[in-house]
Amino acid sequence: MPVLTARALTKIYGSPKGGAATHALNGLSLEVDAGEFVGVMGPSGSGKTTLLNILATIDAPTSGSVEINGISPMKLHGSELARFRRRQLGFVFQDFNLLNTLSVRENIALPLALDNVPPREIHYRVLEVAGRLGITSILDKRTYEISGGEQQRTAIGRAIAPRPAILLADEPTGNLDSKSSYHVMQAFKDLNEKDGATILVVTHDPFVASFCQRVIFIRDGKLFSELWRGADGRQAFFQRVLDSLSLLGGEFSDVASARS
Amino acid sequence: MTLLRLAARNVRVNHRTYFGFLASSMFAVVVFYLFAAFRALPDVAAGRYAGAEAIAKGFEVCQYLIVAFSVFFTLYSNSAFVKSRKRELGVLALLGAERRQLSLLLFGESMLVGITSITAGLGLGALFARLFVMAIDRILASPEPLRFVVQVQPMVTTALAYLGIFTAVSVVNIMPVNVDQVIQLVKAPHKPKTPPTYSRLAVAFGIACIAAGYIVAWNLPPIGVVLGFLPVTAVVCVGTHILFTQGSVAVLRSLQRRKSIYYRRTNLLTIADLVFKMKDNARILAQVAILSAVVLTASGVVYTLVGMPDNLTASHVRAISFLLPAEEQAEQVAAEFQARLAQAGADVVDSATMRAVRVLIPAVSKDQPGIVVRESDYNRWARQTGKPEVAVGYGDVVRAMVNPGGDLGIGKAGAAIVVKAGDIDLSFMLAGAVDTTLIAGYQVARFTLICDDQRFDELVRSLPASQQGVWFSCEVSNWKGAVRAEQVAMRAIPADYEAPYLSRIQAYTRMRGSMQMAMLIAMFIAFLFFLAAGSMLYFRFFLEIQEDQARYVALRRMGLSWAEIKQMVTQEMAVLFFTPWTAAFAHQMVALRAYSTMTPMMPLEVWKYGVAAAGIFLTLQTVYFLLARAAYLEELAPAVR
Repeated sequence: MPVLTARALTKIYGSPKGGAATHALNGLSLEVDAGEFVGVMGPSGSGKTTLLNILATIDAPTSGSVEINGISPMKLHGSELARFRRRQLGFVFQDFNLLNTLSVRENIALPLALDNVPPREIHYRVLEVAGRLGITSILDKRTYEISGGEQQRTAIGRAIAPRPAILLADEPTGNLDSKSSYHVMQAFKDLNEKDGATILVVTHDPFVASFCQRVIFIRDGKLFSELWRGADGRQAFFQRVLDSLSLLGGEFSDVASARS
Repeated sequence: MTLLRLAARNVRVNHRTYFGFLASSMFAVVVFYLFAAFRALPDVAAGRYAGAEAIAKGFEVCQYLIVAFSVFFTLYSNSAFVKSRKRELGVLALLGAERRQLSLLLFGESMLVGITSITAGLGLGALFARLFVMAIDRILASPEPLRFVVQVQPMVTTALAYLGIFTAVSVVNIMPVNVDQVIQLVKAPHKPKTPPTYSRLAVAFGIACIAAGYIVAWNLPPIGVVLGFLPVTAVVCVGTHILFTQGSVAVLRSLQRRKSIYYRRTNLLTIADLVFKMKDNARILAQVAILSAVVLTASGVVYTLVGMPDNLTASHVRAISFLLPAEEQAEQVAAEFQARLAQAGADVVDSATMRAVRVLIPAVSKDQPGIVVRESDYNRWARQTGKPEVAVGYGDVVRAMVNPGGDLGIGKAGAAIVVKAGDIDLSFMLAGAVDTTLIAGYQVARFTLICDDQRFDELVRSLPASQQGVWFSCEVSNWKGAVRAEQVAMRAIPADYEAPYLSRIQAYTRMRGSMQMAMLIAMFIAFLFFLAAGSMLYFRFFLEIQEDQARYVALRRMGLSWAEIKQMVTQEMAVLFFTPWTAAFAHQMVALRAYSTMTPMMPLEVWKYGVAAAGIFLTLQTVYFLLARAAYLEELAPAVR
């Protein structure tokens, strides 16, 4: 059963009259089933950030439709849309976006508090999430007292605490060293395999993509190819991702532009 | 792009940040100009206008105050502007801008803002100068109107004074711009702040300070108020300071421990954010609170003084009373006076014209003047007005009193009293006292004795004319509005009479005039202060807007609605704007309670005025708060909404 369905997404930037319009997305369709771990890869300017922004309901497509858990967020407005975001979508950003006025515990508790979950339940849900991500011991630390990997795991904890329908991650390891990257990706993988979390990761990093079950390659705002992991181990899959990338071509040093 | 252009653009882009500063400086310029313009009016400068001299003097003092205030305010604001822009300056320095160029840029910017506020202030001042002069003219209620003339000189004075202030402050502020230091700032981006802590001991000490100050102030005897004023104020200031720096953190921390409150929707964010905001701004908030308390208390006191003339009946028992020399036509003069008074629109309720003997009663420090009147004269008046009549035996006197037990302590009933009429000692037996309004009141006579007819006539025959007089007094029901009528009536008294004259009407007009004047000045100063206080808070918010903007954008993505963000901003701003007022209000109430012991008023009455002053202040503060909130949200909206 698909959790996320995007049909014929088109996004045109710039005024249609001006002539200098850019087609960021060109009729892209995408489906993510419940419990899937999907990676989206593409060179700079391929439209992957635009795609994520549209899926995240931050941006609206010029044409096409998005459905998440049977709801079309484009039809929602104001507080309805805000409520939809905090209940159905979990976000993990490249630069963590943790609030430095709050402790780790409070950062994870935040979306639950916003949803008026009773304090006692918040307490237990935070402990449960922290346990799963291995950050129980740092719960009462401030965000600047912990490492980048721990910060990102905190951000993941915050994203999954409200039990969203889908977790959207944008270059989640972009600001991390390789060891921390491994821990963070392993955390995603565990969430997917043990808890059946549905995850969509946008990345330019084949290492990150190698943790996914399926990788979608886009170019010029269109689906270019798709790769299934199948029974391969992570190393083997990593090789296949690299092969596909060389086919895809294009500029891949777009860490900075991948921010959203 | 030239530096000046860059400066102009910076001001334009940061116009919301500069707004508070601009508004406050502009108002200072307006007030300064209005006072200068009044002082320069030909009528005032030439001393042609009664009472204007004192006002001009008061205005001069106010002008110094405003200048001093402007210097401090500008200094504070400008240094804060520079601080808030260090990173931007760092970028420019990295791009190779020299120290001289950076200084020039900052100087250009602050001068641009300064000149704008001078121009706008003078424009507004010129617009309102006429109105201002008319208002003063009305307050003074002088027979001939004050003429308003537009003059260039006060404008030039104002412009030069403020140009001087802005230039000096700008120069002082660009001095510490150190290029190397500034570059460091770019490299080290925002350092995360460690969460503020507090000490229980300090909080307890702060509470103890305020409690001690309050208890002492509350129980001070009237004499102690003057002596205790400074120590109590100092202790309360210290307490306020501690409560804002430490107590605020303690309160918010305890809220954070209460999960049922803390984990409730946006409270988590608001409270966590306020911990930092309160701590960062604690000192300025404490200063605003203390200054507000001073301004509120002063306004409350001035307010009570404006209400004071209503209580004049205590010191001026009769609306008008005077003594005429004991001449044949004296009674005619009195009759003429009364006729003119009534003709000119005064409602004379009752009047008395009596022969009087002028006496002095020896008192400890100084002999007190009094009069002795004839029993039959008194009883005639008493019958007319329904007051108690008296029967006085030969050689006795009865004292006329306003409030039983009050007046002068001139002895108990049954005691002998000796008064002096010139060199002659007169002794009487004090037979009693009668409750009446028929006493002259101080200046004319601080006490009135009623003597039996036979003895009185003997006195009149034996005493020289200089010790005698004709006493006229009357009560006017519409006395507050009888100024003109009294002036008309006074022409009935021949100019060469040197009659002791006491008038509640004149006292009232005089007092009301000076009180209204004080009120006007206090209002201007209070408003100026209030604007500045608001601007500082407003500015504090704008200092961190970029940081806040990034935070709110992240929160929006996490599913916080714009309405919720607006609510958070409102709550945080409201706490910062209104906690100083709350503290100031409490201080003011206690201060006014202490003040009330020095006045004939009850604490409740004084509080009434205090609440009125605080209410006005709160209203203004609320208006400012709403404007600041709207500006802040407008600035956030494009990125966050």
